[in-house]
Amino acid sequence: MRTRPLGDMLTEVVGSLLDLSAVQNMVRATSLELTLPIDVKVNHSRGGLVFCADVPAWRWRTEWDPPFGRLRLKLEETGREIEE
Amino acid sequence: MNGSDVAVPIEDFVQALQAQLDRAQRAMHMKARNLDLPLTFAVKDISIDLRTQVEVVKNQIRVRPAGPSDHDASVLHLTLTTVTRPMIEENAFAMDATEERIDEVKDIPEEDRRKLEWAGLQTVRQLKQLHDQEGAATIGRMADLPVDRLRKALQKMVQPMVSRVETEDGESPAQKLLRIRGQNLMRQQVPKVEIEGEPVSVLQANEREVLLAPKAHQFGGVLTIETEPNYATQTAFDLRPALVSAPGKGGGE
Repeated sequence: MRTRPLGDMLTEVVGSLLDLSAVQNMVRATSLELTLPIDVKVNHSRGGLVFCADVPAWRWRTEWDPPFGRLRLKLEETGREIEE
Repeated sequence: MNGSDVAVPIEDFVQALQAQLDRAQRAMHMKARNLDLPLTFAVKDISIDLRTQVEVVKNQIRVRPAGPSDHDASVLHLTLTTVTRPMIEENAFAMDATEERIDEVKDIPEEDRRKLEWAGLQTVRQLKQLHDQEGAATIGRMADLPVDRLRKALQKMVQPMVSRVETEDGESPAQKLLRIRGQNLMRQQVPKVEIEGEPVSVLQANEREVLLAPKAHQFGGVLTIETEPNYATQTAFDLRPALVSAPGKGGGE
């Protein structure tokens, strides 16, 4: 499995939470913390280094697989205008 | 961490990580805008633990992916948080974009430049200021550099240099002045200026310009500017014909 750039992986994870913001419920999640095992790779491209990190393709490690890294992520709901 | 076996500078590594986080934040913002959502989720804090081999090559910290059998690899723990615009402005290092950076100075070897940057010196101006205040020996101790090597590089950097000599009108039409342009033309005190060995009055002086009030016979010859002992430059110029024919600008070196 190809290891995607970290930004792509994060966009997919965070993007899946957007539905939570769209639903006008009385109670909704406003923050989320995740801890993920990750495979990390640093690729060289014309634009410089690309930090690639993705969830592992397999749960189990073999003796010839490099060790997992660990990603802890805290996401918070925020107003769109704040970022602009 | 796997993939490349080549160790990469840690600053490049962290920058690559930051670029990906910025990219994710921008993508989330665009998605929320496209879906017309007033709220979105943003990455607030992120931390990453990576197993790496850490190397120091020529004063540069490099990280190399831990291999499968690297049981004693170091754990690199990185924590990043979102910064707001006021935080950036509050902590930004005030630096003129036109200032010469230490990493652009060819007279200092790359390894020494890196040591100076580690010591917090980013620009040539900062280095000169510290040199004026504390001397080369203190900088050498701070940055762990041989003092002789540093002194030689600093001497080159603070050596006065004249790029242009021009005439201009003084307060009265009859009075003619000389404006000298260049670099490092003044240090802690007004420079001593002579033309053909005769002192000249200095009206104004700064690092890049010196304004002189020469006597009538001092509009040509060898100009000497000494900013302090052992820091002097000499330039031959002749603006006498220009004064006779028409007022204006003349040569220099």
